[in-house]
Amino acid sequence: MSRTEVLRRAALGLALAWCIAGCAARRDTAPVKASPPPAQQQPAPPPQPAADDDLERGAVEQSSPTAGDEAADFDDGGYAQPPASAPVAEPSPLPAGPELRAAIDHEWLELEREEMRLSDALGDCARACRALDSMKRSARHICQLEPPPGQGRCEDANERVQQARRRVHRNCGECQGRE
Amino acid sequence: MIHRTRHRWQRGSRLFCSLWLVGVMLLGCTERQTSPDAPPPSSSAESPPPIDPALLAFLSRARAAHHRADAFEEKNQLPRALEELGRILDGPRPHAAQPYVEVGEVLADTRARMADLRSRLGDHDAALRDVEAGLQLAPGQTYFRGHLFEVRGLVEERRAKALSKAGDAEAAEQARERALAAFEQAMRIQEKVIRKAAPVENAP
Repeated sequence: MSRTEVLRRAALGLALAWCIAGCAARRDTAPVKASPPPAQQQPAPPPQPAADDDLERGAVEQSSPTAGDEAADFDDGGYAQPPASAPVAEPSPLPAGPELRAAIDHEWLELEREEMRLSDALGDCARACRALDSMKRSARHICQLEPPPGQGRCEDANERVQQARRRVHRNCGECQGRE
Repeated sequence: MIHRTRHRWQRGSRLFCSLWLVGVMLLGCTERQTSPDAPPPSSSAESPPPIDPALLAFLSRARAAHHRADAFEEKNQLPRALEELGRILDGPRPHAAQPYVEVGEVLADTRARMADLRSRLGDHDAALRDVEAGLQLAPGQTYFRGHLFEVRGLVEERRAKALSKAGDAEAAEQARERALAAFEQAMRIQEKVIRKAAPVENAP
């Protein structure tokens, strides 16, 4: 490693250390009246039941086995200590019975939530494709219902379907599995 | 030359990342100091809006009921399928006083499916009542409203066939005309839905 690289890394390390120390110092010296009460400083608890909370906490701990070491490092750097009443992070046992049911329900709701977000992201084109499908079905029935001499309503319906199809295609491409 | 350029780019990107990190930390410090009552990061503007668990539970329950109705429909047990769908209408709804749009759409879609099933069972009047109830739930120009008109067309078409079979040509003709009008109304609504969802005009 070249000398300049060593110097650059040292400078970056110093800058980060300065930031951390400055951050902690500012927090410690902030006026008392401006600080929220300890209960507000803690992150708001998620709206899930206690069993779910334990499950999530356990998952976080499993995903970061060195979390305790990192916390110790931060303590040395002057970070504010958590209140004494803060829950001690301990590995939670696997839930069973009603807790397991609650955990499964929670995970299911999370899946639903993600699906809704995905659906929102696809939103407009999914709606356009569904509407196009509905138009096609309606046009087919119009053509079946119209008596043979006058094909005007059938032709008109098919023309409108073609226009709608071109519009959807231009905006969204092909409607997957629907064409 | 390429090697040196890539090296410069890597060095630049590392520097950029370092600056970004320091900047974020500084901003974090500033924000914490100037606005101690600010909400936790989880409720920042960038995070997606929370979705009501009661709404999710309703949607999940409705979907399960539709799946069960699918199973009965495949076995041609249409009354059992109707029972399953009826449970969605009779069950609890989240925030009934100020219902979500999604809840109205699910209920309207359920009404449309029930109307189709009832009409297949030959009860066209009850089917049309389902359509009317669904239209009350979907007042806007949405896919669901258009689909309800499509189902109304289907119901009238089946009625026309039944009347024609029974030898009542005049009533059959009237039902056929109502079916055509309903399908055309469905097309008009879906055209509006498409224009809104796909705003770019057709290719010249």
